[in-house]
Amino acid sequence: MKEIQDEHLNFVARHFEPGALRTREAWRRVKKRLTSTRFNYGYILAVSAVAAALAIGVFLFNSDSHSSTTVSAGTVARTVILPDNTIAVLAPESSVSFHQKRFAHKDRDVRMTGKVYFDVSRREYLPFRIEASDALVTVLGTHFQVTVTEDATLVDVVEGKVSLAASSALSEGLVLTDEMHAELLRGAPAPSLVSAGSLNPAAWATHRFIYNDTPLEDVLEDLGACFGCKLTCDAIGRRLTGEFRADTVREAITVVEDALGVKIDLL
Amino acid sequence: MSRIGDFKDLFERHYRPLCMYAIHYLKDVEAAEDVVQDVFVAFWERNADANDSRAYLYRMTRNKCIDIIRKNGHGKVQPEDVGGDISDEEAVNRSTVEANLWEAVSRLPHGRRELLLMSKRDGMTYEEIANAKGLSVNTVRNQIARALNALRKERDRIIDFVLAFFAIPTF
Repeated sequence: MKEIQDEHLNFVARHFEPGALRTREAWRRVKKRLTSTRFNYGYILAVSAVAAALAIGVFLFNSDSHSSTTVSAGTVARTVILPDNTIAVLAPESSVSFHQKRFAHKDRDVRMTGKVYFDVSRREYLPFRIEASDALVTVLGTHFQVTVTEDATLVDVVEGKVSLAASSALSEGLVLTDEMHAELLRGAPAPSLVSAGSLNPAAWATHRFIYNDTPLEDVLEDLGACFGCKLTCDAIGRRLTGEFRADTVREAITVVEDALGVKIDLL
Repeated sequence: MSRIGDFKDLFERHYRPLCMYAIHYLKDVEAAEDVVQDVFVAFWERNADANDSRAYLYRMTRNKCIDIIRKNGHGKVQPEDVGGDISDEEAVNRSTVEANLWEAVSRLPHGRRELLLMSKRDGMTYEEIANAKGLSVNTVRNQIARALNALRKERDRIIDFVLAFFAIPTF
């Protein structure tokens, strides 16, 4: 049984080469080969056009169960790849719905509940739009997170550009770029910028942590919040700058201990 | 926002999985990368419809691999044998899982990764590895077990493909 399951693992290990399959390098090589005349098809979509076109009070689609597909996560987070290659990581008890026939062809409209982290694939002319309670989030290609609670819809942008508006709004939405956070309180006419609830709000989905001259106490609090534990350290006055990936709290502890030469205790 | 931007995004999402797919046919990483890069260039030049891009890319990759296998005259090995009994959906799923595993292998601590590769890639026994690296057999066994655990956890991370019901890619 284990042998069958290890098939993919064994295949990868058999062929693995440390310097190979470097996507960025491969992209550079491919880009050079593309016919240069085709680059200059610049269709620049003004951000205001994106925001204005969609901040109007219309429900994006009927919740007709025959035509919509819903994906939900139960007690465990779930990663799904939508038909347009967008990656959605659903926190437990969250869901994403879209129209079976239209999605990825006529539109990229989804409805969501709970908390979902999106990595939206780029698609010219087909903006990715999310109905999150009474908020409308519009995207063209980026990494961000939307949380729907009873009181508000919150948007955390990790990288890229996103517009947030009330679905009833008649004016442009609020444009968010890298590391910006905003919330639309339930029933409010417009969203407002807020400071991040935590330093790395999407780390539960991305496993990536970024700190910029952050006091160690704040780093430990952030890691503790993400992994659901308490971390302490005797060192004082230390700060961390850097970006790393960690799938477990122990990995994160090791990175920080090595970086700062400190000893961290996990309670 | 431009066509090249969309294309780059498509490339970044599918390059590694497509390479894994090609490696199943060609058994050669460098050859696989060449094929997949050729496929993307051809895709761009054909100005293909983005909606069926994934199906198109996999189909083109498989065809190119089969051409190479036939050209190299491997005689008794028919391309159909190499493909295996898996459906097209399973091929895409498998390629995605394998691409993630490749990334996971590249993230293993160097020493541990080397031991794993000596075992799985080079076919060495734990005793042979222990001798070559000046370690105890137990250490080798433990390190490789830890590497395998990390990789299994990565593989078991649930990734679902949600396909539009009516889209049946014709491979």
